[in-house]
Amino acid sequence: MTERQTVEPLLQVRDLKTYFYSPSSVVRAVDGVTFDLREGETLGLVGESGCGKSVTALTLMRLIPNPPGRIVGGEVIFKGRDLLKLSDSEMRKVRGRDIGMIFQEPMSSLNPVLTIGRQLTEALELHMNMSKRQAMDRAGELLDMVGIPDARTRLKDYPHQMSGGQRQRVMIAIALSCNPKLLIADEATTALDVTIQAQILELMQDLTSRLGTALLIITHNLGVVARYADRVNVMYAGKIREMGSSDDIYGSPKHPYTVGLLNSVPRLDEPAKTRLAPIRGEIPNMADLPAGCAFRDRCDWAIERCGAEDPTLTEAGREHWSACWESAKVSRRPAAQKAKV
Amino acid sequence: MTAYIAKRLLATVPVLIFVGLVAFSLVHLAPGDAANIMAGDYAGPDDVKKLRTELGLDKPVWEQFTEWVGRTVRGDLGHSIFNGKSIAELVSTRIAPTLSLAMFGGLLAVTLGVPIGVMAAWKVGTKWDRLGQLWAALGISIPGFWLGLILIYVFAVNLRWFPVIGFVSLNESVTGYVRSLTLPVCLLGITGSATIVRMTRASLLEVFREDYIRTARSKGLAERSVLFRHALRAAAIPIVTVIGFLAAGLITGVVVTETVFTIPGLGRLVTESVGRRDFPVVQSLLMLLAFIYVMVNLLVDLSYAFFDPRVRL
Repeated sequence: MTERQTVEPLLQVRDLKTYFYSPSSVVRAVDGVTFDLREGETLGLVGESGCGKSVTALTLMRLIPNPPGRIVGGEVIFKGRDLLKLSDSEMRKVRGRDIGMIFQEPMSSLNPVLTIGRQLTEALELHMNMSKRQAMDRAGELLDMVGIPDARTRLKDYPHQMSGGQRQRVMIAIALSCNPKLLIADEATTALDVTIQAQILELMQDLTSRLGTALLIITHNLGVVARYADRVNVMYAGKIREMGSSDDIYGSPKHPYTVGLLNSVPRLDEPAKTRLAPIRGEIPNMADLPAGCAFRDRCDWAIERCGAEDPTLTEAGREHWSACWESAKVSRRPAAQKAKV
Repeated sequence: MTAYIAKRLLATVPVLIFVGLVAFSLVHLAPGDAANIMAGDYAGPDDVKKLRTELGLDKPVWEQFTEWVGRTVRGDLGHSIFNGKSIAELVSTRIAPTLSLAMFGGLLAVTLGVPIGVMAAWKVGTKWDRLGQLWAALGISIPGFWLGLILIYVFAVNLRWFPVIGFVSLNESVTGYVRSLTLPVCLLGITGSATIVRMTRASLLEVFREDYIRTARSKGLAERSVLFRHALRAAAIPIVTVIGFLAAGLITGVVVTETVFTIPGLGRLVTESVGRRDFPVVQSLLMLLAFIYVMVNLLVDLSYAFFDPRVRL
């Protein structure tokens, strides 16, 4: 996809498909997702709730609950190996060691009946062959690294003795404990207060750039991605609809859905009375997607062709792709003007 | 911790007073006159009247109650009106078989119930799960006395592996003790394990859906560690609670079991004494059983703090 690439990307996701089965229907939560992630870069995966971004993350880790979910196709090439072809025990060596993951709910992501120390040391003992004592020492350093004061004594604490922000710091410490090549943050800051969100994001950014870890930020918050990601994938109804550098995605979006997302975020550089323009309509029923482009019913640019054929990602600029028949015509203007009614 | 235990112990006082009130009322509201029975068939009305005065049965009911409470609190359980033996002595001769039954029966129920429940939850939806659930359904729905009779019929009468009835104390013969207890302990264990299986399965399935189980997997832990280190401990509280309930079940279960297997324990003493209208014995035994039950539940409450650090003592 990037013709001038010389180094092989850290992660190559190819035509990934994860479906959820119920007796009456099939939900194509992830339906042919393809993207690359380069060593050390920060990539944003953006979309509304239910668009399949979290399922994508869980699929990379092969943590999809089966049943009802199943990874039905595609490749996840990580450091030259297809993770989907690994045995369960080989995959367990990837989880926690090569790829760390942080989840949305800091309140429920840590085990309430185990100490913070124990939850930090178990991965160290497992992947780094540390003794209990070594692991405990390292756990103290890690807590210190993520900015928890008095780290050594906090190791004996239980999760309920910490605030949400602190717990998410602990999660970061756990996820980074074995020096992974990739950190996946699945809505890691969504449940936190805005000020804490920024702290946690700064921390992740700072640590991953220091450790050379690639970062995949999954969020519905465009502001987060704008600030922290090098490149952005915009996902809608199980597919990536636009991908490009952060600057391109914000400066010259080429997919109507991206435009809609940007228009529904308040901006400081617009007149104060400007009304927000939410995307009209609703997310389509994922169990019963219509033929053609899944976004066309909500789209201002839709043409007849959109009802018949689902566009695939095509080049819309340098390192910028959009899955839209009308991508050449799409820009932020029309929707923004409409918003001033 | 000490303050908590003291508080919980104090809280048992009103419970025991209430139990005492109920026990006393039940015995005194039941038809049948103890004095009549004691005096025998050849006693005249005067003899019965005299006996009634001796026993204090002619006093107002509330006075009888306060006197009984006063004596019990001082540790004087009184005497059987059937054979005149002191109740403390009666209890001490009868408690060994009952304790043996309840302890081993409870132990068997836990050692059967928890692993079967874990297996059912772990292999949810498979034939192992269905087997576990079948076990639980049968254990709950089969009446204890019927299963007891079947056990006796198959293993004692036909196969002759175990004695049909009776109890051999540990002092007399160790093998006799084991053989006489095997079938009744099996009965208590099987019926007792059923609820434990259900609760273990349900509780684990709930924990498996928790976010922190996904976190544990995302660290690369083997499923074994996820189950034993992360899930089972978090699922322990409902399981321990149901084991506490089982203690109550064991008390009633012991009455049935001792009757079916003709074991001279406390349960049998209860049923015999009810039949004889031996009200001082019945009252004291009810109080004793209630006390044991309350203590077991106190232990269960204390164990919460061990399993879940969020429980503040």
